Amino acid sequence: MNRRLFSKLHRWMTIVVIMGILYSIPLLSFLQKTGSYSFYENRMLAEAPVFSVSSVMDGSFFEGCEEYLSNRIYKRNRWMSAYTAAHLHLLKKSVVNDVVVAENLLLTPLTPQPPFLSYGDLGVRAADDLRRLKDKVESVGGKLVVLGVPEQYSILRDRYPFPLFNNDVNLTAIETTFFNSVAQAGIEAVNMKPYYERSSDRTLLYAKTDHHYRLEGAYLTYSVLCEKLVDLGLNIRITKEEDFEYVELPNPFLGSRAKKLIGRSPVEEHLSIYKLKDEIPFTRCDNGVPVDASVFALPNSDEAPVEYLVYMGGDVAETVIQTSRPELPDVLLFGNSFTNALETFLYTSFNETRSLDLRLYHEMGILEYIEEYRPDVVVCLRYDLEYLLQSGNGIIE
Amino acid sequence: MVFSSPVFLFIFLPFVFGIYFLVPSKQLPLRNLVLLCFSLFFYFYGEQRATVVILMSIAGNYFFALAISEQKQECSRKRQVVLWSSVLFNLGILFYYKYANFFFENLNLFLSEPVEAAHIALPIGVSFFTFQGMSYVFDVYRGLPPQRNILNVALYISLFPQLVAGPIVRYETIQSELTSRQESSELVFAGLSRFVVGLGKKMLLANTMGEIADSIFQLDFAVLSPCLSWLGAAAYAFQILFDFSGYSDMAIGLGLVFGFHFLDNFNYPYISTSITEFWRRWHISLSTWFRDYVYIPLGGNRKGSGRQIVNIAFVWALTGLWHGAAWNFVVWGLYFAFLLIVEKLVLGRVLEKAWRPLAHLYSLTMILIGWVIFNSPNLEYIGHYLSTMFSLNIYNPIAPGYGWFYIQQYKIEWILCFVFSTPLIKIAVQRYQKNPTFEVLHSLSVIAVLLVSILYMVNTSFNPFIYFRF
Repeated sequence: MNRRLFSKLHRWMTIVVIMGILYSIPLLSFLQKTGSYSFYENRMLAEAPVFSVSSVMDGSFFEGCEEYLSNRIYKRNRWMSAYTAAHLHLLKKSVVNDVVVAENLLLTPLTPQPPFLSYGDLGVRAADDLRRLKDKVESVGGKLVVLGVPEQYSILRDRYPFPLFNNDVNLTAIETTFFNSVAQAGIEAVNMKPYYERSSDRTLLYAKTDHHYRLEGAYLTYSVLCEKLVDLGLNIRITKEEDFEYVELPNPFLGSRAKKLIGRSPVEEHLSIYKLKDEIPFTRCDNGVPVDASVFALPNSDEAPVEYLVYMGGDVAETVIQTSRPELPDVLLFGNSFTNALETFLYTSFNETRSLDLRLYHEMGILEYIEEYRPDVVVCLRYDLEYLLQSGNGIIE
Repeated sequence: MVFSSPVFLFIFLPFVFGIYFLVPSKQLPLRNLVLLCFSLFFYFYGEQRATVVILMSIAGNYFFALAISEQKQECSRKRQVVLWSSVLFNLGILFYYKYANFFFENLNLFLSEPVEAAHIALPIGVSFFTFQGMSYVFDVYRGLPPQRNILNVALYISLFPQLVAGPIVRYETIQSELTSRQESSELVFAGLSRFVVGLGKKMLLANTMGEIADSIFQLDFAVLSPCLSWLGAAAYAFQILFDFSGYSDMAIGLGLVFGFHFLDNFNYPYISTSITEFWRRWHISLSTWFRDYVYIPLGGNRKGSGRQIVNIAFVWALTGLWHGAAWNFVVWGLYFAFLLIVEKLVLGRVLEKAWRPLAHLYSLTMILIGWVIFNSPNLEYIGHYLSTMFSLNIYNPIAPGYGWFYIQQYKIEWILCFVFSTPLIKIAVQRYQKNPTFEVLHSLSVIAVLLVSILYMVNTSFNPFIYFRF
């Protein structure tokens, strides 16, 4: 082939390929049928904007078009997965999609920040709130225990690869301030961090790819909490390790951090559930509606990935478990998703177990709730990143 | 609508290409009309209500140029009056939309009763299309024939490839191409390749360097070490280079596809051995605009060195202000004015004789300091950042060695930035472009860059919901 013809042919082929890409992607995007939910992002995808003169003139129509096309581009998950794989395996990045890829572990990236100097005031404020809570619990004849659990990256902070920042100074300061303030206020509290730290391998207690603890960590939390309650004079029966057996699920575990890696996580792990040797019959109501009497939400097949949602089916505003054992006390537990795995054990020791997530429950404030249901024990579960915050489950009103 | 958005790439561009090339090439006025409609829609897409501003600019400059051309050359006074009226008109638009808020904010510092100024939104690209409008009137004043058809003026001012981020295309550059131009597969190929290279620069290099620069410039000063601060400045230098030159490449490439030849806007500015050279290589369309339409008419270097220094300072204060209505931009402009004056008076001769690596080091250091000034939110921040850069306290106990993270995490991107900021690739392309294998490799690389850029573009829409924070 002569040189000129070759150049012309090659030029046209390149133009055709580029144009082919520019034309086929939008065409395929509009032809493909996609659901409205993005599994990896846990959100609804943008819908097509509604055309109107006002939406055009205020720009919202065009913004909607941008978002819609970005969200619905052809094989979007595959593009994102390829991007993630390239960054993980080809470019060997230590932070990908806002996840730190440490040795056999996924953590969250942190921005270096200087030590914050005003924790003292926040501690006093948090303790004041908890003192009001304690007064209310005691006014109905109950006992309050504040249960502190660290987040995964906090308990595994020494596993951050150099030179990534692990915020140790601030995390330690927050923890110390909180528990000192709570102790000064005369509130019973359990800091789980030292218990977890005694473990030879903290990744047996905490997930490698998720920000929560594993069921094993939840059990340790449960047993330490129950021992504390027994010390406080409560008549409860603690479920011992010999009373149940762990069952490892064959399904791949898709932790929150692994999920951000669009299923390309280099770290694999499996979740466990447990089976009691002597079953305890119970009923369960979520948000006032009776549901299956189960504390594990298992997938339909052994291949389907499972998430932390396997425990209690995820976050629910209000869950009530009745075991019809009036000789045992009633407990109210409130906190964020760390309560889910804990609840799977907690109900075994109580007559009635109520669980609230104040981020989702808005019918009444926690003080009013206690007044209405008058539990024997109130467990306020806080995780260490929010020890000093007055939001979500830190709103005591 | 930015060039690196899916809507531009997958909706706007296919439509404009499709409809433009459906019109027979002999029907140039019709093709121009297609381009004009798409260009105005392109502007309307981002600035619905402010579209009237660009229409006003088009109409105003069209009539001013006609008015100038209708005056005979010997009626210089009348021509000058019209010319100055056009300058006032264009600068009036620019002042009202870009500088009024800044002006009143500063004026209020001196007034006991502050003036309540309406907060005016800045229309996208107002600095670019205003300067193009002025260029049209100036070039007609200098003797080029005006466009009798207002649609051609509208197309010149609003042509979408260069509308919102330049390069500032002077009227003389494309005057003849507005009414007569050749389009060919060579130009389409060259244009698409250039567009893709620009897209790659933006998506793969500028955005990544932007991540580094943003995170370092947002760090608390207690955490910022000298090493980190230099890294932040270097990342920002690469970000702004590849962002801006990438956009210019995309604009030049799209221009080529439609048969327009815009001039290059960047010529490897970071290989300069002096600041004078840097400004011959950086944002060439702006610096030559100021040189030809402001500096030289002010007298340039023809009225003695004292006047020249004043001219340089004035032009560079304006250059700074052109970039944004804030004091750091004025300081940035004056900083370069100072360096240019010093180089003109003394340092230039020294640098010419100096060991080249040393001259490069000097230039890069001064350029990085310039970018710190440019990227700082206020004057106080500039002081803090620069003092950190030159601090001798290298060890930072809060995040020791943190700078290494930015080097290790982005090592490939740093290398690519270094390579692409030099003419190495250009030299290789020129040397081997006759080789058929290289030609194929070049095309494959262009296609690969396009696909990888799309990969990055799609991933920017990855937006995990708050469950990751519980």
